[in-house]
Amino acid sequence: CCPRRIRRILDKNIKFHRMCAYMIVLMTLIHYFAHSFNVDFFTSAYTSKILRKRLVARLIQIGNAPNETYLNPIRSNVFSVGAVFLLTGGWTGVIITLSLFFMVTSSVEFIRRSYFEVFWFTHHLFIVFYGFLVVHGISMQVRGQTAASLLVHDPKRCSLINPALWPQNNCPTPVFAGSAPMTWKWVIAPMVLYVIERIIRLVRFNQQVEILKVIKHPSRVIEIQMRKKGFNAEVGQYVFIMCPQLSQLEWHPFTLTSAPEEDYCSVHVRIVGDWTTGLSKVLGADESGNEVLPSWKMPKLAIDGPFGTASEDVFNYPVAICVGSGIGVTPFASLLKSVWYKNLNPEHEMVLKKVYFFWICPETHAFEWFGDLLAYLERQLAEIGRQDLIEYHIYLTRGWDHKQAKTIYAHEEDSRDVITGLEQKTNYGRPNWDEIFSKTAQSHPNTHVGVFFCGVAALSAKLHKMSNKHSGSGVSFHYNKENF
Amino acid sequence: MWANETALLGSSVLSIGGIIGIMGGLLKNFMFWLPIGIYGLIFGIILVILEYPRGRKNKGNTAERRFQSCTATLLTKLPFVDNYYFRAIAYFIVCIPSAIIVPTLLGSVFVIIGSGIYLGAACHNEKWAPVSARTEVRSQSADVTQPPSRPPPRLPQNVNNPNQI
Repeated sequence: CCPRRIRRILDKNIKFHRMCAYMIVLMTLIHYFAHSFNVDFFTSAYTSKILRKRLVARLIQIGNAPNETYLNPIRSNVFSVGAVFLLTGGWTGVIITLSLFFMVTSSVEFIRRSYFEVFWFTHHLFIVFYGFLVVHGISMQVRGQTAASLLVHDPKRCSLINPALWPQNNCPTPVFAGSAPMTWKWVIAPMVLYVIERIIRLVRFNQQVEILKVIKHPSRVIEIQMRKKGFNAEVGQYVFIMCPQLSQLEWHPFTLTSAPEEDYCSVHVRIVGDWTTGLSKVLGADESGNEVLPSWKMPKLAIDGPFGTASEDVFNYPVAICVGSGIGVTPFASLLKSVWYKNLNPEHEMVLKKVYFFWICPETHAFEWFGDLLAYLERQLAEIGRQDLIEYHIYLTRGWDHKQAKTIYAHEEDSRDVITGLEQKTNYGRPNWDEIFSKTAQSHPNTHVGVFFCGVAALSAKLHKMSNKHSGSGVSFHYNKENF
Repeated sequence: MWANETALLGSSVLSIGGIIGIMGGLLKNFMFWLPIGIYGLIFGIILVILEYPRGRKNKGNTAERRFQSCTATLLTKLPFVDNYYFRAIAYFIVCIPSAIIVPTLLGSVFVIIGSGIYLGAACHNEKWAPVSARTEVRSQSADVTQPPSRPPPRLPQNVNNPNQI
């Protein structure tokens, strides 16, 4: 629906979320410090030094008699810190700021990486935050003279006159009112959207997910093939998976590794933490069980999604450069499979004509399944004579010891690579991006080339710079990044 | 770990509150703020320096904060700071005087919460330890200069067949 340039901005949603958070923190601090002066003005109005000022003394009294509206929300002499809790704006503000404090301190990258549950559960305090934010101003404690009262009681003139003499001098008692809360007008639309999304997640939770197959891959990777009614995904999208047997509250994101053309959806799960270990156990894929679990013993799973990322746009470009580093290679599994399926369909002419795929990892350990997928695709493409559709390069960056170097050298002349078994030889070390980009620019003049990346941030910055550097006359590189 | 983050943010807010207290204290109406503002600023800065170096995680590599090594060496020399009970109680006591004026109230409450989390961590026997240098990646190559000490494993049929070499 939307043009590609606008859609690309939506890919930066997490960055935008963080910018909003920084702004909220900054504004909260400014707001708090400004109101600390305010609170002290309110409470110090009752102290004896100030009471000698007749105007202040009179103003704080207004509101004590019936039919009068007050100016000072603090109605008696209290300690200023206590006044913070007396004011409705005060104690709701305390609750809001405390929730913000917990959310901010647990969102730093260190806590997110090492203690994810702390981050996840404290971040749900946003419900408290927004709830109390909406009622923060409900007592209307920021007050001023009403417009009607301003017509009859001119503050500039009457403040100079002794308040005891106001009735004689045409200064009727001023009428004060507070301004109504406004925040709800700004946040109501996003809150409603969020509630709708949670309701959708609840509905999806109740939809049945059928587990078709669980496949154990080497290096502690399991592939789960599932089916759900009405589930359609684009290429490279991800889903959230929840297993009620393990935890009612944890939804974990996984990239879909199946192509949209297949009739099942699959994810490859790497067993790393306690949730994934528990998952492999209930699926019968851990070391203890070697028997096949019947399907009625399979645990219930819930899928929320699919959610889109940058990789969806790949079919809109005539040429695509896809770079995956480490675990970032998973969205491209789905992409490559889908490219092949689409090619089988001769009448539908694809815009995408050529895919350059770069896989960069310290070692292929834990991604043998992806190597197998590449080998399979290579064979299939050779069968239909379209080997030139996908050109892939694998880079192993960790280096090698001399035993490995000897093996590689001994197999130098083999037709297939010794490590991956593919026809394309594996390269060692890091790619020379300048050379790659300029070569691509030369072979495809006057085209829009999409660069898709998923993986480590340092490489992302480099690729973005390269894309901008080599975009020139005719050829333009559009950089898209996927977040993990 | 989380206590460290909360106490760091809290002490930064306390310092800012101290600055605001000082600025307000210079006005005639808020002279009471001035001493507390100075107190808040000084202790805020001290706490920022104490909290800035991140302690070592129990397992795995710890990501250090930038320039943390400058204050980390200071911390290893101070007597009590690696004990979290000390941090919990000391922060609580330090923040009580600064909680009496509104600008520094926010920072004090944050640091008190941080001290509460430190108390919980202390009950779990956690301590502050300086982050050591990153452990080197162990080389996985076998030493090929020595001849193998054991024969390679053989399949059962090879063991039984005496004619095989």
